[in-house]
Amino acid sequence: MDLPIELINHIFTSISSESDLSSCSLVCSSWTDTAHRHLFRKLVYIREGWGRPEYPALLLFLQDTPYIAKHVRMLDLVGGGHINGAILESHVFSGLLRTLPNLQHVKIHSIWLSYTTQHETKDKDGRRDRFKKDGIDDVWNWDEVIDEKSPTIAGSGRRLESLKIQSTRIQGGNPCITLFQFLQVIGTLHTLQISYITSRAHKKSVAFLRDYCSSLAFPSHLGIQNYLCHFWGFDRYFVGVVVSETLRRAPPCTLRHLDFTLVDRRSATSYVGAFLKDIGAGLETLSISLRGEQSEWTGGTLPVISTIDSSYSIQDNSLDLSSCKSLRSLTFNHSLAIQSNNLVFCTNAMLDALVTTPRIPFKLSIKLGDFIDGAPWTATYPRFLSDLNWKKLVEVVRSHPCKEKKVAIIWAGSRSFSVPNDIEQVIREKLADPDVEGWMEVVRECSG
Amino acid sequence: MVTVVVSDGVTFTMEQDVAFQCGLIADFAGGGGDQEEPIPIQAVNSTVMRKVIEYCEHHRNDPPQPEVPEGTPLERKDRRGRDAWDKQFIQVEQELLFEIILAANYLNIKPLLDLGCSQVAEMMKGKTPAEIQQMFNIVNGFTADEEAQNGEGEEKARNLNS
Repeated sequence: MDLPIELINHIFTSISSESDLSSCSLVCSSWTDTAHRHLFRKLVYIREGWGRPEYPALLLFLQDTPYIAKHVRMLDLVGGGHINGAILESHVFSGLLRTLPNLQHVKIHSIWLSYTTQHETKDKDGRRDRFKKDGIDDVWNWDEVIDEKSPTIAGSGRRLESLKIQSTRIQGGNPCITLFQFLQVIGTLHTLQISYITSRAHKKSVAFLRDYCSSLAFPSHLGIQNYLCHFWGFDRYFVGVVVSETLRRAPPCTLRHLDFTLVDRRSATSYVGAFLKDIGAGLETLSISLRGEQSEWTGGTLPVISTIDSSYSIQDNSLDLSSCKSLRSLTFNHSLAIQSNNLVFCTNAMLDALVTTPRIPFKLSIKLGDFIDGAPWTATYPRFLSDLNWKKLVEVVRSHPCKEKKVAIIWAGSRSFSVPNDIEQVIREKLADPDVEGWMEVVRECSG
Repeated sequence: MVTVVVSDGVTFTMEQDVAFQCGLIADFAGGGGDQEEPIPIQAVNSTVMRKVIEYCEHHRNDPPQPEVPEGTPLERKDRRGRDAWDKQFIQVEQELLFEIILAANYLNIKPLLDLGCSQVAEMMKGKTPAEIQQMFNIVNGFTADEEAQNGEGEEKARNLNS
């Protein structure tokens, strides 16, 4: 075959079968590297089982095969889930980024994230002691961890563009510092997606977060301090604070897309507001999602806890978009399967933020759905209709200076989610704006 | 009308919408009206040019293809898809197939380039390295070190999964 190598490369782009690409790599020496470029472009490593040292083995494999490692652009690490997640330690993650010089996209899914130094992993007992005895204070000192003791990722993974951390559980003493180890690459990222993170509650971590919250402008009525004390054994409740605190301390970055989903019934907008002023300057799209607790997406029954004082004042919410000078799209996804107080609280906060931060084009999406079969959305949806500040929505749209405005209310969900036929009419009556057809869109995305 | 003269001296005259599917010709003509001087296409002979023109005439009314990012797999990139006519069109001798690919690349006709490359990929489907070598008359040229490395990578990957 007498074709130049760039055309051979073009031919390989139309081969999807791994075995065919593998065969091509063994045809001749001039084809090998080109075929590897396609064969190893995406590396998916799926492991199940708790605590087995699997990721170090992957790291060793890649270190021993640089002719493979140099081609990896996408890395998906998939573990066994929340209950039996494989553990990914921060120094291994750091090593992976250093070993894969052209890595652009990383997805970490259903894995337990853990913070250790390389030295500690050689001495498991020593590591345990560190968390049990006097050494524990060290891991609470941010400056020390960032400057010296952390297995720093800074400088590695320089081509990394997107990081998606989904359905993971944060291990280790201070969950913020653990997560921080994985987010040090933020400086190169364009896209960050954090969804369904939970964190192991530790007495020390609760104390840390309580101190942190006392210095943060969190709405006092949310009662986070008491909440943490009371629920310290329930890991998922304070993870929003963990992520928020971690991102607030992240290195300078130029994030363009942020997708933030929390398994938390607290105010997602408050959490996001806490760090947006630090990392939001270059944001173009921002998606905030608030879902119910784990039982929502595992199909269990949904407890209804009404802990938010319904008489809150909107000014208490700390969502401030004024630093997001480039923002052009704001999406808010909310499950109807959780209590409507949070739903209305966050949606109203979004509207309030938009009043003070005119963006062109104005695009706001509010996505509502049950997300699982059989969730008791029916109780929430009428309250959403009755409690949302529809008048404010109209005011925001009318007063907004840009010409192009779009508000989409998307009804999404599963087969059991049946949207009433007259929902569009009901919403339009609530809005009572003669120009509503020009900017309002009601979309049905229900399946089945 | 646009006139081109190919490597073996044959002259072809085409309507503009046919000729301008070739990015090279469109660039050469500057997008203007009729071209008086024949455009020299030295890298393509008349046999191949006939096939190219046949392809361009068949697709003269196709909508423009959307831009796709570099590195996108062809199966996702080729929105037009390979219709029955395309499949029949590209069933040619191996040597001519490679010449069409080279011509499509030179003349900058992306859909034809994709079609030719897809055909070569199709020919290699399910074949062993030795069968591909035989089919395309390729000498492997691996050094002893490279042979060892080829086996080593797979061995390590197997160990990783064990």
